[in-house]
Amino acid sequence: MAPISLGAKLALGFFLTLYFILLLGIALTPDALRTPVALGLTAGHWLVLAIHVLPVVAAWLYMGREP
Amino acid sequence: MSWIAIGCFLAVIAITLVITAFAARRTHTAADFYVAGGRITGVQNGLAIAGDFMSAATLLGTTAMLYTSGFDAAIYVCASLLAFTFFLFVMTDKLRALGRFTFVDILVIRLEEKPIRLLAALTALVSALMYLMVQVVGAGALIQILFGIDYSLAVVLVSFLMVLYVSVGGMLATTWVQIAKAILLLGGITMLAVLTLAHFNFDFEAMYALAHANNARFDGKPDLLFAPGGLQLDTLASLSLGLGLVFGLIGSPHLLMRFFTVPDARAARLSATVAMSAVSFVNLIIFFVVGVAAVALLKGNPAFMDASGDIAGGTNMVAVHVARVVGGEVFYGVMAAVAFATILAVVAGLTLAAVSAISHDVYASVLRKGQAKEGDEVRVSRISTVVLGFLVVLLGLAFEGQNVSYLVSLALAVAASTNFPLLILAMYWPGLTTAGAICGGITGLVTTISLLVLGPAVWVSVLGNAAPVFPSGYPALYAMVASFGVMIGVSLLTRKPGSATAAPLSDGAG
Repeated sequence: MAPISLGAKLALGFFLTLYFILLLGIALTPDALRTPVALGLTAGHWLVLAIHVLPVVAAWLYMGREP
Repeated sequence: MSWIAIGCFLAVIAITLVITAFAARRTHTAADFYVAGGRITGVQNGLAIAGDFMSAATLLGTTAMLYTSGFDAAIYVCASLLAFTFFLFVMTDKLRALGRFTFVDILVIRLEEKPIRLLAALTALVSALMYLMVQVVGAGALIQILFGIDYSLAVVLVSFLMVLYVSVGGMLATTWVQIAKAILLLGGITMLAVLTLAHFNFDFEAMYALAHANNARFDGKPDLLFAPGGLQLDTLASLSLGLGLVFGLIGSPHLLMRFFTVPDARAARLSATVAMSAVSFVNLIIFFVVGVAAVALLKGNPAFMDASGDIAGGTNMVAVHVARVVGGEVFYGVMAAVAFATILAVVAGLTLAAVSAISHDVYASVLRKGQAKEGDEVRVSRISTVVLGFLVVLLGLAFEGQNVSYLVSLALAVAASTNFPLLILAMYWPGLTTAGAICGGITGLVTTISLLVLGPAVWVSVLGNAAPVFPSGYPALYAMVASFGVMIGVSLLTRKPGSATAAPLSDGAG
């Protein structure tokens, strides 16, 4: 088995960071998450979208690696 | 009572029973019963994992959470994507290479078999039982509102079907029921989204404006869907809930077991990727369309209120009520049946994971020291399934009416503080000792259960006390810290010389 690649570690760290931003934002900075950003959605909504879309893209790119 | 819904229900049950009969003829060995002989492909397994994961808490519970608590439901929906990302990048290769039937097979590569199998079987059973209870609560409410029959009878019916699927068909039946359910759910939720948006003439702004107005008028919280605050979480509660959900999913025996059903690591990776894609799709539809529509169409609508002014059937039913509004009686029946299929599929997977802990980890590996006849092992599995069915009925009756997403968070707290620390340290830290694993696992389990019982969910809601002893309803963070701390601390105190320089587990080498 290959060890966990640097890219995988960075990707995982990035996505965990996004989730921590959500968790801490809900508790500590709700006004920041409710700020309108674009297309009628708030910063919080865009964060949810990012957490749902980016990992899926990363996963399919990662699938190209040989185990 | 909707005859279309009843018809759809019966069709779902008939299809799943046919699948079970088909699988029963192909289930002969223990490998067939536990992991379908390792013959499931990556895409099939990915759909099965998605079907296994997307339980009552996804379709029913998340929509209900959005309806009552708004934006804070994001913690629940996002947790699943983090968990699958962790699975894919950190765990799938090792799981497939090192495991055989259950995740405990990985733990005992370097640790003493008997005490570890007993501990892991106990933790797997407790987390699976709690998770099962959630599904049964959701199913009971669904059947009660659709058929008008008593909640208790509904709980018994679901438990009976659960026993039938698993005891007769094993993992093969479970897998194909989960695949069928995943396809039904993906199709159903897509149709629900299209019909919902069509109901609002594909005008997102109009849908959100109506939801905004209803939240203002009936809850006094106009920004509930846009701004945090619905769950009133402080920092520790938010972290505890979020981390408990993510690491609880990673430590869930019924999801871990799925990675042993595919032939190789690449198929295991493909499984995680396909599952992640399906879950992401469903989550986004629920979070941005169905949940919002529930507030816009149902909040304050007397047609969907019962005599006490609450949502008919409880808030867990808002998703199927939305289906009725946008698609009429036929689509209401279809979505109710999809929700029921969702629950049945997860129930089957959870039951199989719990039963495997008893028959493979305790009976075959510990009591019979690895010398059990395959027929005996499978027989013990089937008997255990029946006993589990009885326990699930009792728990389902005790927790009637609770929000299913919240109940899932409690079940996942157990997995996060017991199975996850055991598995991740066993895989990646050679310094873990048997004593450390046992002490840490017990610490995690006892801490979670104690804080759960002393917290609002049981001390107040079930036992009827005025105030909880432990103020937070989210025990995961505290239990995880305790579990990891004890596991690492005791391991350092009891380590053998040279163990710290050993390599992490790879390809089954200790």
